[in-house]
Amino acid sequence: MDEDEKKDMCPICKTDRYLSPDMKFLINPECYHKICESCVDRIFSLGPAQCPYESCDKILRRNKFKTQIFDDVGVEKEVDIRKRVFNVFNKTLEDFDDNQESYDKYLEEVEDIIYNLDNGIDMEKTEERLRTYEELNKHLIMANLERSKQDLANFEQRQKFEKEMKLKKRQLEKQIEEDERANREWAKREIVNQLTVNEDAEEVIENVRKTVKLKKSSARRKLEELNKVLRNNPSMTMVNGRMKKRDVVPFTPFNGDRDLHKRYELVENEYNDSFIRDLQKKKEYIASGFRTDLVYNRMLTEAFMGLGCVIKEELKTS
Amino acid sequence: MTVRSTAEDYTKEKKAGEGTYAVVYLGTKKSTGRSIAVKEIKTSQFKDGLDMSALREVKFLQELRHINVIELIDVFMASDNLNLVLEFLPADLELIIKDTSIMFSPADIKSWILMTLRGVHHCHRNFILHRDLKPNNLLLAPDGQLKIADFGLARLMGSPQEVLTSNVVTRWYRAPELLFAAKHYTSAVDIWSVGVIFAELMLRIPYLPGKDDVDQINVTFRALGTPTDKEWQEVSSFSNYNKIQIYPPPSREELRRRFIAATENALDLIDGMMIMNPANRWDTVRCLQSPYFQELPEATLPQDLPKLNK
Amino acid sequence: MPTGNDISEATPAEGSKDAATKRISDDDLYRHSSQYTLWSFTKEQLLEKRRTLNARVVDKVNERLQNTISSHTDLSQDELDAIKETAVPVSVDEELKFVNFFARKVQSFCQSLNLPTEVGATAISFFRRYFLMNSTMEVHPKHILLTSIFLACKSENYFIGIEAFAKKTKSQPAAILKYEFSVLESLRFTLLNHHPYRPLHGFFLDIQHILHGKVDLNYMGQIYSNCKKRITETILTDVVYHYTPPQITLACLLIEDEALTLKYLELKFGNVGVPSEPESAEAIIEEAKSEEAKSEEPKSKESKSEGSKSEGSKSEGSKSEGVKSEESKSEETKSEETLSSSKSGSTINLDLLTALVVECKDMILNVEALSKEEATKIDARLHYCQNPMLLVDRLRRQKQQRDSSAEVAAEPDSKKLKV
Repeated sequence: MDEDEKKDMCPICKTDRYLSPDMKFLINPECYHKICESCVDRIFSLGPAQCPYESCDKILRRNKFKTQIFDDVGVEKEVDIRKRVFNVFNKTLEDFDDNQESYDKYLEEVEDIIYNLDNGIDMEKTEERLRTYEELNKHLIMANLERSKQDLANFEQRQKFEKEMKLKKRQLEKQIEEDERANREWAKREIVNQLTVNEDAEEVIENVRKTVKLKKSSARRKLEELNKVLRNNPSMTMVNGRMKKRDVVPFTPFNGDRDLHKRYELVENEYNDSFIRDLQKKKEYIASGFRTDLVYNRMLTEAFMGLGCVIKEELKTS
Repeated sequence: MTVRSTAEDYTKEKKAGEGTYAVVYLGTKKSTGRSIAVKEIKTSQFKDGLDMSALREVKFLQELRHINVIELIDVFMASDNLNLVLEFLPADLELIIKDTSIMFSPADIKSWILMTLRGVHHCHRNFILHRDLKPNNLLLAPDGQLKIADFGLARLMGSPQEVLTSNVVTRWYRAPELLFAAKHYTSAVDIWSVGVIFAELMLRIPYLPGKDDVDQINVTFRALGTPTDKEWQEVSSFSNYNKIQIYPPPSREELRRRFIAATENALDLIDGMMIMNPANRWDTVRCLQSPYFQELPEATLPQDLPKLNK
Repeated sequence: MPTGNDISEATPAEGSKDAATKRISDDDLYRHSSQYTLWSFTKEQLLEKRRTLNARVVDKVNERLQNTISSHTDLSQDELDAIKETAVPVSVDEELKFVNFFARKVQSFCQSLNLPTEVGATAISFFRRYFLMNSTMEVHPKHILLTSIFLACKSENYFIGIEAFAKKTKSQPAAILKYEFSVLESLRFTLLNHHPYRPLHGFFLDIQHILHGKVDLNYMGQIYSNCKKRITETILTDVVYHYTPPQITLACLLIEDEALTLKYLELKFGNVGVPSEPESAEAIIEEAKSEEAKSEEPKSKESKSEGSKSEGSKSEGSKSEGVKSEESKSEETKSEETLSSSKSGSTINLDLLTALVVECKDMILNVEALSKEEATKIDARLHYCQNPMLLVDRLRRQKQQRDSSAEVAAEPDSKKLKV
C-alpha cells in the first residue's frame, strides 16, 4: 500500500474514501491521530476512551475531535498550539509602548513556548509557564481579546462601507454612460435640426459641442467626488496604533451630558391639566409642532432639578 | 468685597471686526497670557439702554458651560461700554466650507456634526433655543473643537402660552414652520438648521439658498417636497399656505444621488433632522443616538480636522 | 424613567482629557447655574456678606458725620443731639427689612403694570440681589425699583420701550436708564433666574401620577393656584438664597396641605416597597445598584458636599428619627448622610428631604415685614445720615417757623415714601 492510498483509508475500520466518498476524517488535538467520523462516533459514543491507535495511550473525548485542515498533521498541530498560545500571549506592540526591542523579546519567549509544546520538550514546565502567565495577565488578555474582536467588527464595517460606495460608483458609471449616449443622440439630432436653418456646418457643430460640454452630467461630478472620498479617507484605511487604541474606548454620543435617572416618569394620561389640553387643541399650536410631552417633560424636569442640592451643606466653607 | 474685573486685566491688540452692535478686538488676558476676544458692545446708540442681543448673549453664555459652546470668560464695564471677554476662536465652519483648497472627508463631516449636535443638545437640555445656527456661527478652536457662538437671538423655550417671533434664524437655515410664521415653535427649529448645515458640509455649497423670504419657501419645498395636512397636521391653516407651489417629496433614490457620499445611516439622520412636521422632527437625543455616529468611519478627532491654511 | 439606548452611556471616556466628560445629572445642571454658583449662600455666608457690606458703609457714613460736625463749628447742642439721634447709620437688619419693604413695592408695581408673574419675580430678584452688593445708605432703593423692572422685562422677553415704560410708570427715561449698568454690574451680569413656578407645575403633574385616583382634581387645581401665590411671596424672602426651586415649591405645598405633601413624598421617595408603587420603588433601588457598578468615573469635582461624607457611617439611626426638623438637623450633621446619595444621584433620602423642606417652610412662615412707620423712620435716617446738614437746616427752619408762627411743621418724610 503506498502513501497516497493510506491517506484515504481509515486505519481503524479500513474503509476507503474511494468506496465511500462521504467519509470524513477527524483528529483530536491530544495526539493528532486520524480517525474516520463513524469510528469516532462508535468508539467515543459512551464517553472518553483511549485512542484506538496502537501505542497511543491518550484518553480522548468526542467533543474535542475536529476536521483536519492541513494535510500535514504536524502543521495542524503547530497551528493549534499557536492559536492556543497566542490566545493567552496576545499582547501587541502597543502594549510595549511601541518599544520594538521589548516586543521582540516577548515574541521570542512566545516562540520558545510554542516550540517546546510542539516538540514535547519540558512539557510540564512549559504548561505551567503558560498557566502562570494567564493567571497574572487575565485583565490584559481579556482586553486584548476584546480589541481584536472590535478590530474584526471594524474591518467588516469598513468592508460594508466600501461595498456601499462601490455599488454607488457602479450606478454612477452606468448613469454616466447613459447620459453620454443620450447626449450623443441629442447632439446628432440637434446638428441635423440646426443645419436646416444654418448653413455653416462648422459653426453648428461647434455650438452643439459647447452645449454638450455644459451638459456634462452631474453624475460625473458626483463620481469624482466619490472617488475623492474613497481615496482620501484616512480613518477608513488607518490601521496604525492610534486608531486601534481609540477603539478600546466605547463611543459615547452624549459624553455624559445627559441625566439617565430622571426622578419622574411621564404618564400623560394621568395628568389632568386643562390649560395644556386646551392649547393642544388649537390649530396654531398643532401646526407649530407644539407637543404636550415636551411641555410636561420640561415642567417635570424642572420640578426635580436641584432637588438633591443641599445648599447649606454643599456651599459650607470650612 | 468682591474683586471685579476691569479693562486693566486684558489687552486689546487689534480690531478683528465690527458689527451693528459690537466691535470685536483680539487680545490676551494679562495674568495668564491666554488669547481672548473682547466684544465691546456699543451702548450709546441704543435709546432703550442695553441692547437686547447683548443682553441675551450675556444671559445665556453665563449659564452654559460646555466644550462645544463658546466660553464667556468675563464681563466688565469700561467707560460706559459693556465688554464681553470670550475665548479666542480663529476660524468658523463657513470659512472652511468655502475654502476650496481644503479637502475634507466624511469622517471630518461626522466630527463637526457630532460636536454641533452635542453643543445644541446642551443648550436644549438647559431649555435654551439658539435660533441662529449657521456655519458662520459655528466657530473652531485651535485644537479643532467646534463651539456654538452668537447667542444674540437665543431665548428660553417659551412658556406654552407665550408668543414667539418667527423672525429668527438666517434665511437659508430657517425651518419650514418659521417660513410659515409659526408663533409657538419648539427646539425643532434648531435641529432643522443643523440638518441644513449637515447638507452644506456634504455638498460644499449652500443647500437651500433662497434669494428672499418668498423664494426661500419655494426653494425649500422644491428640494424637499411641499408638506400637506396628511403628514403635518394643520399645516394648511397657516395663512400663507395656500399661496405656495406644490412639489412632490424627493425619493430616497433621489436623496442618494443628491448626497452621493452619504451612507444610508447618514441619509437617515439628515432625513430625520429635516422632517417637515416639527412635531416629528428628531430631537438632539435621537440624532446623537443615530447609528451614523456608531458606524465607520469614526468621527475624526478634533485635533486632526482640516484647518484653514494661514 | 430613562428612555433610549442607555448602555452606550456607561462610561463617558472619549477624549477623556476634557473636563466635560463627567456625567452631568439634572442636579449638576442646577449646580452649574449662576443662581447656584453666585446667588446661593449658607445662612452664615449671607449674614457675613451683609455685615461686611453694612460695616464698610457705616464706617464711611460715620466718617462723613464726624467730618460734618467738625467742619461746622457753629452747631448748637440741640442740633448735635438731633444728628446723633436721627442721622444714625442703619443696621444690617434694618437695611434688609427696608429693602424687602421696597421689594414689595416692586411687586405691586409689576402687578399694576400687568406684567407676567415670571417677569415680576425676576424684577424682585434683581432688586434684592442688587442690595446684596450695594447698601441702601449708598443708593436709595427707590432709584433701583424701576430699573429692576425695566431690565427684568427685557431679560424675560417682555420688552417695553423706554418711552412707553417711563410713561406707564410716570417717570423719566433717563432716571431709569441711569442705573441700568450699575444694576447689571451688581448682578455680576447674570440674568437667568430659576423661579419655582415651573417646578410647581411639574409637581402638580407628578402628584396626580403618584396619588392617582386618590386626589380630587378640582382640589389639586385649588392647591396649585394657592401655591403659586405663596411662591410669589417667597421670592420676597431669603429662602431663595438658601434653598433650590424644587425645595421651595415643596415647602409651599407643605404649607398648603401638609398631609397630602407628606403622603406624596413618602410614596415617591420612601424606599420601602410601597404597594401602590412597587415598580418604581424597585426601579430606584435597581438604578442605585447599576449606577454604583458603573460609577468608576471620578465624581470628585462636584462633591463639595459628598467628598467629606463618602465614608459616611451607614448608621440607620437618623432614618427612624423622623420628621421634626430640630431633631433631624442635629442628627444630620452627626450621621454623615446626604440627601441625594453620592453614588446614585437620582435616589433621594426621604427623611433628609422632609427635614430640609420643613426647615424651608418654617423660614417662609417666619418672615417679618416692616411696618410703614418703621420704614418711614429708616427712610429719614438714610436721608439724614447721608446729608446731615439737611437735618440741621430743617431744624433751623422749624425753629424759625416755631418762632414766627409757633406752629409745628408737618413731617416731610411721609411724602418721600410715595415713590
